[in-house]
Amino acid sequence: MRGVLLAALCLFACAAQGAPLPAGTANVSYTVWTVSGSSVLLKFLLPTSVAQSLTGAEVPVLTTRKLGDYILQHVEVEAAGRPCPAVDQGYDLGKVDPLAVGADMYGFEILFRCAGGTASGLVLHNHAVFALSPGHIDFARIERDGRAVEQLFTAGGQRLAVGVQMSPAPFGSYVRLGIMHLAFALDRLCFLLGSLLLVRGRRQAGYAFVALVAGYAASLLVAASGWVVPRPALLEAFMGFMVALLAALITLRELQRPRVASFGCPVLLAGLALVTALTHAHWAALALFGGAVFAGSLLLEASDGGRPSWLLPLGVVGFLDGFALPAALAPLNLPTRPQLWMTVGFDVGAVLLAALVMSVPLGVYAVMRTRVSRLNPRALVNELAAACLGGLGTFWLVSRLYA
Amino acid sequence: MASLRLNWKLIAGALVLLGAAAFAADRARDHQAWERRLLIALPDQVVADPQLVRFAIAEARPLYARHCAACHGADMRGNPALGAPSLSDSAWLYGSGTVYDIERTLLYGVRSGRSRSHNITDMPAFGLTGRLSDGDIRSVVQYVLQLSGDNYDPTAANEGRRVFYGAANCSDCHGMDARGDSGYGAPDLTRNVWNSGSSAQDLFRAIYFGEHRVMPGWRGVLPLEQIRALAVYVYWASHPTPAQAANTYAQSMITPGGAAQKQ
Amino acid sequence: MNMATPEIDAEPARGRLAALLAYRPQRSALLPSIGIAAGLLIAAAGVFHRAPPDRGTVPAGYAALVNQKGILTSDLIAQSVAELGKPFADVTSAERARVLHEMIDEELLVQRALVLDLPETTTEVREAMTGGVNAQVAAPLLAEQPTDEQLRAYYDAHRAKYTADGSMNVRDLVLHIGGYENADQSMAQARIDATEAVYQLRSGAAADYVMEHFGFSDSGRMKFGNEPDFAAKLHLGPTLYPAATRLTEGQVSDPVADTDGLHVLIMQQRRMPTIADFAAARSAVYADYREDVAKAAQRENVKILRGQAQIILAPGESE
Repeated sequence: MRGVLLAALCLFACAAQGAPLPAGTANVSYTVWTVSGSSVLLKFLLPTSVAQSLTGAEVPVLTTRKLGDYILQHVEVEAAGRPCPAVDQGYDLGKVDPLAVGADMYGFEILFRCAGGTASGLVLHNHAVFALSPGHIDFARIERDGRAVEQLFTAGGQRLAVGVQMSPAPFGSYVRLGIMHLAFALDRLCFLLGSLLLVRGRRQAGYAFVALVAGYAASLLVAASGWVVPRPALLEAFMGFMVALLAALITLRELQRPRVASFGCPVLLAGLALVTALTHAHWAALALFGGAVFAGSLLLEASDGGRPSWLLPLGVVGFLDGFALPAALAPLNLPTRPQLWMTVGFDVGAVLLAALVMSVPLGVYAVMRTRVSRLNPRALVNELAAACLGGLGTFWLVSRLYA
Repeated sequence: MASLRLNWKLIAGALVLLGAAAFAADRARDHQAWERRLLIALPDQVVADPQLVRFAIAEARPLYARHCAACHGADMRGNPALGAPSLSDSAWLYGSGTVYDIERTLLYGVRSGRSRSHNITDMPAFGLTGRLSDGDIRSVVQYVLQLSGDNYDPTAANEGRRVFYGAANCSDCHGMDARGDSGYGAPDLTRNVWNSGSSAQDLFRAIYFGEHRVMPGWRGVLPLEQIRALAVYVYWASHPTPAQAANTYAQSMITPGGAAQKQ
Repeated sequence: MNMATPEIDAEPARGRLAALLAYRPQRSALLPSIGIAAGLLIAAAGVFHRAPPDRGTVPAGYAALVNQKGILTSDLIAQSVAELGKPFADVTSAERARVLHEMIDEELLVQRALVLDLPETTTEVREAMTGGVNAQVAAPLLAEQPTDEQLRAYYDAHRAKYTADGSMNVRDLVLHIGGYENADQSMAQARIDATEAVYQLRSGAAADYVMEHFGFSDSGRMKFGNEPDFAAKLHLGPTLYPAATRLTEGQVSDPVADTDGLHVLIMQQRRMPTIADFAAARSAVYADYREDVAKAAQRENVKILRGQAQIILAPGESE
């Protein structure tokens, strides 16, 4: 009966997700503001998924023209307190020139001409998308006289003053970005909370945190080297797999069911790899096969309770999550140094929130344990967690693979 | 924790695998460096470096066999049936046989439909279009045989000369001295080197039906370094002696003083 | 001689197998670790891919990168030699820079055209692009020359192409029936009158006399006098033109009924169309043949492209 209830909970966790989360997309847009003489040329890039979210409320029908008009109404440039109007660039296209930037992105170009020049008091405004989606981020790049700086437009900061000595967005804004990223990433939060169930004592909690930080540091090194870049969709799917793997680890260690975990998990993954290979998604099949080998070996290792191999998934998750910002910044083609700086801030924010997420439940548990020492809900909690994490992780894995 | 007494066989196997991987990576990097050197040099500077030439030839041999031999022959002596010229002699339809000229032909081809291909004109089909009668063509053939130093019929050749400079206007492309024009791809008629055969019947057929051979362009099909290697290979095959190489170098449009002499 | 039974021989083998399969601490430690490492590497190979080449350096063989699109050094040399008319080695660095500058400008404009989606909006660009594709498709087929027999067969099948138009000066007289001043004249009576008029004309009577006497008038269709056949066809119409083509100069046609009455045609001048014989038309036949070969290749190419394309028509549309 208990098994049936747990299985039902697992399925419910799957179904409760609703529509699959589009993998590899974020609620971001990109703007490049090129200041030259008395004009400011704005290149606005909007991912298709974000543009689709505007349909209905802000943009009645999603056509290039209507989206362009929406963008035109929500961006402004001021110089010396006076608005700089958008001008018709010719080619019979009006004030907004649509750009062909690929199937997954809308692009627009708008030219603003400032009567008194742009030398003093240049202010850029970007109000697009924020009204509908307060969590939206616009990564901006401002170019002037051969120099370029990176900035951010957020719901709380839709206005940017650009001095002659342009300054980039402060480090703290990327730290905030990292915090917000992790705060709204349900899969990462589930993983961090679930990993606490494997912790025995403060020392192991410390090791877990260090493993996570090591993962972020490793991704920073790899991203800085520029050797490899992730396939965003597969990266998110692999995150889902890590959540499911955590469930398997909990099942193995805490629920003392080595066979279910050690064989079930890798066999299922290998089967999924085979099905994926048949659909000609070779890279996804390779990732799944690697995941199956990794999972099988890890669970085998973990069945010997002496070795702390369960720390490895934390490092892997930290490594994968460390690519979130570089992947989001890819359309801007930024040079290495500024991107590295932004990624360090982002990772610091994520790590800070991870520390908070991991330490608060541990603290609560430590306090509760002294008060209610006779109660030991560990088994039930482990079962529930394994069921939920298994269901959620599998759902995320499959839905992101085939989204 | 159980003590880890590592199995030396496993370690040795892992080391061997690592060593093999490192060796392969090193060879790959070395190969890339040579390819880069081959491309960085200006086309005609490559032949001044014997090591680069050796590398290019080694690279180009299998490429030639796969892509070029079907038309130009495994021995690089051409194919009269296809009208594919010999690549091992010093007669060139386009350019003067420098690496640069050969590379241009490889990149964009001849009448391949690409705008940068050699495509100014082709040999008109004098017989098919009725511009010349069969008798006139036969006379022109005799004149061409005379130009190339072969046996010929003097009477017919005389008549052929009149047609050559008259109704057929052959000198427009082949030059008043019949020594050809590499800008048009018009061959030198005095050298007795023929793409489509050297007999009177072959020459008659060439004049009657015209020549409109097509060579594909390889840009976008083969990587640039392979095209450069093939150009060097063909150059090397057609310039086996230093004197021949020096002569071609002197006629080059991209080397100092080149082409000025030719003009 | 060892006459051991198979069962006895199997014992040492089973013992070795058992020893191989028995628990060994170092193997049980190492194998999972190798599996973890291998699994991570394989998964990483699927999840990650090589970063694109360094965007800051120009690859070998190129003179410049314009938004990561390369300008070949070979093309720079060719352009320099063509523009300046001297060997590349004699080109100064200023001249080379100028040529490269022009080539970069051209590349930027080409890229700008793509960004602005000019192929979608500009007819000339579309024509140039389709022309380029068609040229490449046809090029290999044009390498083969036709034979005389093929040219002759083509000529025979397309003679109309090699026919020079004739011309005619026709006087078109019409006897209106119904709705005109002879409104009470019946068709039968009109035919009688027209037949008599034709007889008179053929006997040498003047057209003006016939018009006055029988009630004919000029139809006005051939008011421009001597016209090429294609124009006469348009003006006379499908009923009268065939009748006109049967006439030689000076002849008079039988009465021909048309929508507005009975017509009588007088061929005043006639130059017959001429069909060029094969020898005279050879040059044109050769050119047309090769053009047809090219067009056939291009049609085949479009057929293949259609086969691979997903074409959806809006409701109510057809093609």
